[in-house]
Amino acid sequence: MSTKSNKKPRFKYGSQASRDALSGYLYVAPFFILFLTFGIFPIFYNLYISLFSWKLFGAEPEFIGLQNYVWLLTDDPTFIKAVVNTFSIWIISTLPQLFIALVLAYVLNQGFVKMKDMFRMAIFMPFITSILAVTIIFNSLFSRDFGLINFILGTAGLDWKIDRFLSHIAIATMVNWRWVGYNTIIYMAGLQTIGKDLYEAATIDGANKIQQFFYITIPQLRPIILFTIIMSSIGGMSLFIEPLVFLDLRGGSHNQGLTMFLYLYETAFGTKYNVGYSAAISWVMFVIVVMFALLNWFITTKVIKD
Amino acid sequence: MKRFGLILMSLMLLFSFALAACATDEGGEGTTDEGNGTTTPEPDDEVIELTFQNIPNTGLDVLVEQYQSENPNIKINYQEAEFADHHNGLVTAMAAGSGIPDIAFVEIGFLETFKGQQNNFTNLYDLGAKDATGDYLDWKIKQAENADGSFLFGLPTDIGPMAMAYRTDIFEQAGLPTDPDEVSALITDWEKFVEVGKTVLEKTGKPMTDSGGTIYDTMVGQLTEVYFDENNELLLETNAGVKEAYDRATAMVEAGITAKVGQWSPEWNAGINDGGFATLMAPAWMMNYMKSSAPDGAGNWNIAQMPVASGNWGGSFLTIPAASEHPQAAYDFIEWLLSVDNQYEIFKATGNFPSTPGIYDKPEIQDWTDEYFQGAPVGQIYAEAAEKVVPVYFGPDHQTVNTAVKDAINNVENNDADPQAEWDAAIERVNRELR
Repeated sequence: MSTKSNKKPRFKYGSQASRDALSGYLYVAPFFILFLTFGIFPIFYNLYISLFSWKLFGAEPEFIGLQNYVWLLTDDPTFIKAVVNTFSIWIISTLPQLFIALVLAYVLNQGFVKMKDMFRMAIFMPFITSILAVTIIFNSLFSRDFGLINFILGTAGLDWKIDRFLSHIAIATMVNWRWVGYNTIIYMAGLQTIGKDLYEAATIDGANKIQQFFYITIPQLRPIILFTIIMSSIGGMSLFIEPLVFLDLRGGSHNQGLTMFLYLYETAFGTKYNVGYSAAISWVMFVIVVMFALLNWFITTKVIKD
Repeated sequence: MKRFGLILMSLMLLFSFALAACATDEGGEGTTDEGNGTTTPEPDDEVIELTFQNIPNTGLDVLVEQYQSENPNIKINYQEAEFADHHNGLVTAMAAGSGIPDIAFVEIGFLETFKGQQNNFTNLYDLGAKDATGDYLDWKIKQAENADGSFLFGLPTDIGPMAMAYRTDIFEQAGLPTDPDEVSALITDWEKFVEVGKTVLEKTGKPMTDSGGTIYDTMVGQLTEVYFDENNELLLETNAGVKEAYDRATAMVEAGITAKVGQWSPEWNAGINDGGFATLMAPAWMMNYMKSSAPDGAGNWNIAQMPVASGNWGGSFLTIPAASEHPQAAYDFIEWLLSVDNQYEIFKATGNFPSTPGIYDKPEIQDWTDEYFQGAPVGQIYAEAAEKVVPVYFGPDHQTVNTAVKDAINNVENNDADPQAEWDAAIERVNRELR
């Protein structure tokens, strides 16, 4: 009884508290209404769709329970291939990308470099170019008979699109070219926060620049490195335009460059229009990305603690 | 009271958001109607407004203007989008059930997919198309019909009859005849095609054609039944014609008489330009493509009839989705738009090959020669090819199956895969993708 009497005045019409509460809710309402309509609802509707054999064209949707998931996980070599491709491209794009960015940031941060602003801008430029344009240019650079890459490497006739690993390298190169500048800028911002006294002390103790890089710069930058790894994981897991334009909707004739995202799209909007199966792919993809992010976080925090 | 006013204001803000959202949803249509309705009420009967979604370069847009000026009670809202965007937009609109035009351009490949959704279209036979179909090529009308021929999805625009373009310089070097009639007589079927291909490879070192996939598509296009029967049962494992085409295409690949270049790639364009391969299976519309992307090939190509029979690649239809509120007005418009006389006009303006055989003996077609092809009578060749096309039944899932089989050929061609293993893998993949 006492709780009731305590609560009653709070929600009495016209009271100060109820007005405050109401106006508060009204203020946040526009965001939440939009978020519910375009964020939450589609996510759960997607879950609902994934339980059906649902094609945009053809028979009426038919409820098949978890069958899509069973097919996807037990009887779909294409999906396995897409997962392996995604991780393969991620590894050969992220590792060199972050390392090069770190080295570039370190060099650009040195006192002897002149025209820093120009270099900074030049390095960041690729990031603001359209992915599509980048991919089309690289497409012709990697072309089999007339490509500049084959010309420079002296590997005429080498087809970068057909071999699975070569196509991954080509796609990773595009990703790297675009993202190295972005990461360099982030690292440069991080480098500004490291005190000069550390380097001065190291110099007095006789450490050279390379030793300073490995024993001062990298340890001090750990939180920033964690951030860039997480960002590039998100980007790498949702790789889409590069393989689409460089190869095709199926990631090439034997799915050599098919990524998870591309497979999801191809299933729903390629030739199959199978939205039920595509919805199931999106949920499995979600689980994979979450697990990957947790693993990432676990490993990196462990490294930082050590 | 100040607080109350605040709440009221925020409520109003919310409503105005909602209203704004609604208003943008309905788009310009609502506002223009309102404007017309209040200021200048139409004295005549109602003006029928038709939305027509098309792709660029069809030559139809000019005629739309003409129809509107001749029929003041029809207002055509003409919209254009690029090929892929247009079709994807149509797929999405039909799945969502809104934003569907009264008249939609549909290419043959997409029409097969749309046939699975008969209830999304108007049967043109119910609108009087029975009287018009006689003007068009039989096989073309058949492409637009459902399996039992009772439902017509669209009226034909242009067609893509096929012939074989060949390099006279390479043929000459290989000691083969270069005259179109002699070439047609020499290569009458695919066996001969392979034989000649081997001669060309031996004498000149040049491959006979661009890729195994192109030849496979061409051979399959000459069958009457491909992957599905008229009940949409999968025939992939039982149709001997398909397997034969597959075996023949992979055998050509293994004999080394294909150039291993995919269609539309830079290597392909270069091959057309400098003679990277000796023949190219070319539908009528390919001529423009060759001229614009391989200008140096001019004078080295000639055109003969294709082995076995003709074939068709591409071509389109105008359909009336079931969502249209004025199907009869829309039908009257497209029947006029695609009539024999107008196809003649379109052909003269754009070179799109007409689907109405009634005008094939017109001088513009009979005397049509092309310098790129050494002055070959291309009009006659394609008109003859057009009438030799055999109707093929494809079925709604044709693309899915065809992609799998052509990927298999591509793997044999570029990855030295084993043809039989790839065939088995393709069947497995098709069964998985169609479930």
